[in-house]
Amino acid sequence: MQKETNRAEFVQLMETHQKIIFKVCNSFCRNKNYREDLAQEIIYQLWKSYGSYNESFKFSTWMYRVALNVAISHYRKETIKQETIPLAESMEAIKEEPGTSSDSEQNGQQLQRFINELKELDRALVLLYLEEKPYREIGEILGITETNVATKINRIKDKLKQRFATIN
Amino acid sequence: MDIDNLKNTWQSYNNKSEDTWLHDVMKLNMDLIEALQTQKAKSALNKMIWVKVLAIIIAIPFMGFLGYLLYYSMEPSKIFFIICDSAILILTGIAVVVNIKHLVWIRHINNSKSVVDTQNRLAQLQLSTMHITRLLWLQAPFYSFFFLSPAIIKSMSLPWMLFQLSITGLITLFAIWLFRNINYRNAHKKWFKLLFSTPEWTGIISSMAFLKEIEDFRRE
Repeated sequence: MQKETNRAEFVQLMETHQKIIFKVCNSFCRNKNYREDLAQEIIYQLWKSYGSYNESFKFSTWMYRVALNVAISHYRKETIKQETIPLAESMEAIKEEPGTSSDSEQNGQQLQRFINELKELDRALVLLYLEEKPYREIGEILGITETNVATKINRIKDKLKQRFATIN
Repeated sequence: MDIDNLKNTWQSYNNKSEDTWLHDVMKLNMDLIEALQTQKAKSALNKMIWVKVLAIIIAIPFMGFLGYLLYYSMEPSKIFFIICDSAILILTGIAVVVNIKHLVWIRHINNSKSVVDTQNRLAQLQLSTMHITRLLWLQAPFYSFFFLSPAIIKSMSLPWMLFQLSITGLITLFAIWLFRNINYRNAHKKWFKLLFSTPEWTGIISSMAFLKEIEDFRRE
């Protein structure tokens, strides 16, 4: 009975925070076909760890930790297998959508593409920054100091600035 | 694009993005997700666990055999055998302990710890094969002179003695050099890629590079 109550509560929490899963999967899974697998794996790992969730952390902080850990591990496995996946298929997710997209959509696609080019840990950091997480919380999720978060964000912003400058 | 506007661009892009695939996942029943993922976890994690358990299962009788030989060789005429047998026994024992430690690590991998800590532990775990290989290379010199005895040495001709010394010396130098140099700082070097270019090492080499990234990421 207790397990059923927990499960209902968990499903409810997943529905409330599903955007986290969506954004993490988009940033760490290059292949559209594997995104569902990754989302399932994240949900499963969240469920497995849910019993040990420490309420002194915000739920979203805990959820980001698990989701990013699962996504980075998944991404690394996928990258190692990459040699056997046709290039066209692996690049599918970062292909620009043709046609009628507006300037802001194009900027959004470019931003997603540049983020996908970053190394895994930098990508996690920038994802949390764009989600407007405070530096302290980003540090807690990633396991680095607040000052380190600030320094790295400035460096990545410079990098992104240069990347955007090259396309304008 | 204005770089200070990154957050707005990101939010509006994600709000407009098609997320129907996630709805499909969210519609899945938790029992099904659990069943699918348990199946997957079994194949991936169990492979690593089984390799380590198998290594321990093979190493323990081997150690027993070495111990048995050692027990019945305790006499001055077998001094070289005693030295080599003991060294191989100790190094195999260390490898068994390292394998057991890694099995404990696998049990304690916790995705809800910070990203840097968990990823560091996972990468270290993937490198465990490399640590064991380094250790086992240290055994190599002892296989090159265990058959000697003071009586054989006395009867050795000079060329034979020089040949024996150079072989043991070269293997020792090579083993020590490998022990010191097989690490992620050298993963990009030609000799490393040449030695470890087989598919099973690809994941290990990638873990080495990732460990370096983690080290850099931790540094301010």
